[in-house]
Amino acid sequence: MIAAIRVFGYSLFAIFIGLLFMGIGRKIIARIQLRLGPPFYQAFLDVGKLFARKSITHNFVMDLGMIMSLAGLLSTMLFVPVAGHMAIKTSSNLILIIYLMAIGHLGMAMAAAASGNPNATIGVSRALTMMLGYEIPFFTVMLGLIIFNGTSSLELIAQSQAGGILNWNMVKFPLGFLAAEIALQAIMGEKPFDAMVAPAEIASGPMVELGGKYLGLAFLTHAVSIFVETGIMVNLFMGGASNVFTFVLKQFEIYLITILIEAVFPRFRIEQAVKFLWTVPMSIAVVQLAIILL
Amino acid sequence: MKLDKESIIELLNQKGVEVLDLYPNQISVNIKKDNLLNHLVFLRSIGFDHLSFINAVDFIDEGEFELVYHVWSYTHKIHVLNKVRISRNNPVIPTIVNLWEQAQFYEQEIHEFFGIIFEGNKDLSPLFLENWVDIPPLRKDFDTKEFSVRLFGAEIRR
Amino acid sequence: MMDSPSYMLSKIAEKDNLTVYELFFGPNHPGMHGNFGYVLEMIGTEIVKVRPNAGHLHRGFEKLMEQKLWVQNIALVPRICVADPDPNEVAYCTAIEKILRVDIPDRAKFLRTITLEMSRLSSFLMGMGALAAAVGLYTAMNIMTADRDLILDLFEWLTGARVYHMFSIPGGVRNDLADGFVERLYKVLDHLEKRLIEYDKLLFENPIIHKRLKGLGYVSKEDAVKYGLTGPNLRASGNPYDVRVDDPYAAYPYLDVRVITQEGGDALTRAIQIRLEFEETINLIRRALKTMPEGEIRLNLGNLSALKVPKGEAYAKVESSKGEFGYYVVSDGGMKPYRVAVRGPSLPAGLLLAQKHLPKMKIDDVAAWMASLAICPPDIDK
Repeated sequence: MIAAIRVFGYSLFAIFIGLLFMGIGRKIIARIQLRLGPPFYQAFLDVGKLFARKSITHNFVMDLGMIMSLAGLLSTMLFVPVAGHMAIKTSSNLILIIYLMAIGHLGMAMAAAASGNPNATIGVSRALTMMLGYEIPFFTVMLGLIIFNGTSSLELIAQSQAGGILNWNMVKFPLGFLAAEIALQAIMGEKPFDAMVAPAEIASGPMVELGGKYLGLAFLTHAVSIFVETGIMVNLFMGGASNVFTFVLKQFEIYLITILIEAVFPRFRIEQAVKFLWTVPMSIAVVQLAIILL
Repeated sequence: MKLDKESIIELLNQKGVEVLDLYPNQISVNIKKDNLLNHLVFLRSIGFDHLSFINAVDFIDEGEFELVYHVWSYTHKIHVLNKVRISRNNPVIPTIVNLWEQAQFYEQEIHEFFGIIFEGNKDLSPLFLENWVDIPPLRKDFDTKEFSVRLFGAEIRR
Repeated sequence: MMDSPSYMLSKIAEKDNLTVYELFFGPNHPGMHGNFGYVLEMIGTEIVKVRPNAGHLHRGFEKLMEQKLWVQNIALVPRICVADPDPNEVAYCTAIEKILRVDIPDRAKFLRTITLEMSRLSSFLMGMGALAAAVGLYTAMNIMTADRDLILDLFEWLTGARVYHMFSIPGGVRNDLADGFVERLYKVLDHLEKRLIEYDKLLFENPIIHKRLKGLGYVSKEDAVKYGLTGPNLRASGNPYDVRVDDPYAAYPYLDVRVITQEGGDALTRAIQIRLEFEETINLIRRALKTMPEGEIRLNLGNLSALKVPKGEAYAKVESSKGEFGYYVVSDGGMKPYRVAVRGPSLPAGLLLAQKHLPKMKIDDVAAWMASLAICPPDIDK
């Protein structure tokens, strides 16, 4: 019973922080583009409006796919330590987390394929190809950290960086941080690697047939994914945090770097993106791995 | 090498074509339907290589359509209006797609709006209007007011 | 190698005739400018056949113009092109003035030239922004829209309307410049020149833009003339032709227009062409403002609502930011035109080049291809 309340509480917290980040991000991008921008709480209003609408659906598979993607990401969130606390008292194995994150994409792929629009199918195939692209450099960096710390538990990696800013992995392994940052752009689906949602080319990709409550679910999935991915980066490279407030602040720093890069780059074509991800961040990560092994 | 307007008028007169000098850079030529392709090939050979536009005019009182082929030369800087008259009851004329490929779309448009048939054009399907069952709309005997009243029940109030 | 799962699946599907599917790059699409569509038949992500889906913007201008008085058509004519409306008015009025065999006063010519060049600036900003948005650089699109607003405010001060100005009338122009207009115009031009440095860093020297646009939609030098392309597309393929120099109108005989030509012929060259012509346009406006004479702004042709144009015909053409806009006007001596035919510059690129370039292209590049050729659907449909 207590566990159920903890799970529910953590999920609400993740959704709240994700939507807040989305709203503030839109405001910052608007100011870069010489506009005023929407208010910082705009994402909450969007989700509220979307859930108040009727929506059309094609078949049962589309419903199941959307719920599966949200559920997959929420279950991933339960294993990411937030300032040392976790929703369920269990191990926070890094490999398990990366494995569970794929369920989000698979659920969305199922929903998009069931919708029957060729735009959605092209978008889904691009998303899965991009996954092939970013996993390789990201895994190489993580492999280096796991070998260095001798454990694959995210909590222990975060605790090993205690003792001041000079102890952070970001400062000890700067090349690894650089490669992981480039891969993070692709994981979060932001330019220059957002070929999955390419409005001008394939009419928003997988989300083209979603409307009303389904689009609201897609928004919530995106919000939780922001929370999870920035959370993993903070634990890996910025030393976790001692309290929740500092943790959220560090997450926001990572998200800010993502937003600032996104504002000034156009998007790669999908084959150019994968080629870039397999050469530039990969070589930096391999160099970092070699330094760790020697 | 650049020819001036008088030399071009001279060349065309030698071919038996009558030329009207309209404006400093524009001349107008009347040609017969059977002579159209030869005339355009000749113009192209002396440097008129840009086909600007093809359009049609409906002279209902004279019972004829007039097709105007606009060509321009980048070397001589002269614009020629080549005018061909065809009968309104049986509007048929050969196509010039083999000379300039963009003519296919101009002719498609003229077929849709005037009903002129271009022999040899491989695709004269409707380009702009959908499910059109009336007479071609740019003809002078198509009355827009009467069309609105008949189709949509619009009322004309004076 | 990337495609091997889909290659195997496509081989299986070929047996059941299920490989080719139809995609609407349609009228309702975030990457399309205006209501126009291509119906694409595709295999995988590669296009096989193209069919244009035109006519959503057909408003019946040519039939409508036969039923209105000569001066009433001035309100209809700018609406044929959304981005660059002034060339339409000038071409229509020039055709009427040719049939009437009158010459308008010099100050009117210069005023027409200044509004034409200002409209060219705002159309270039919109065109560059559309090209940036087609590849995902929304920052450039929004900053250029903000700068375009400055020019539209100037237009509102001069003519009373922001987008469709209805400024040229047969015989001259409607209004003269107000006090302080020229100073404000100089300030806007200085601001735009400073902004060009930022655009260079953001858009034209962006390495990803070079990767996306290089080699896209190549048009050779002879093909550009053969297919009927005009304007910046023609000059970016190596042909040094410009209507302002070849067949001058308005005040261009008094101004020295520099014709900018580049070799290259692909989308990246066309993007850089627009940027170079942007700079040249700013200098042209400055030269025109310095040499503008005083005088009348329109001829006295009597009551314009009772204008009767004698029997005759004329073709007038104008260089807009997309190419050659032409108006063929036939008059039978009455108070209404007998026939007005409009030549839009986007038809050769939008309909003919689509048949030549789009098959064998991937779906990723269609929006960027359209934006680089400045295909604007309203002047295909009229």
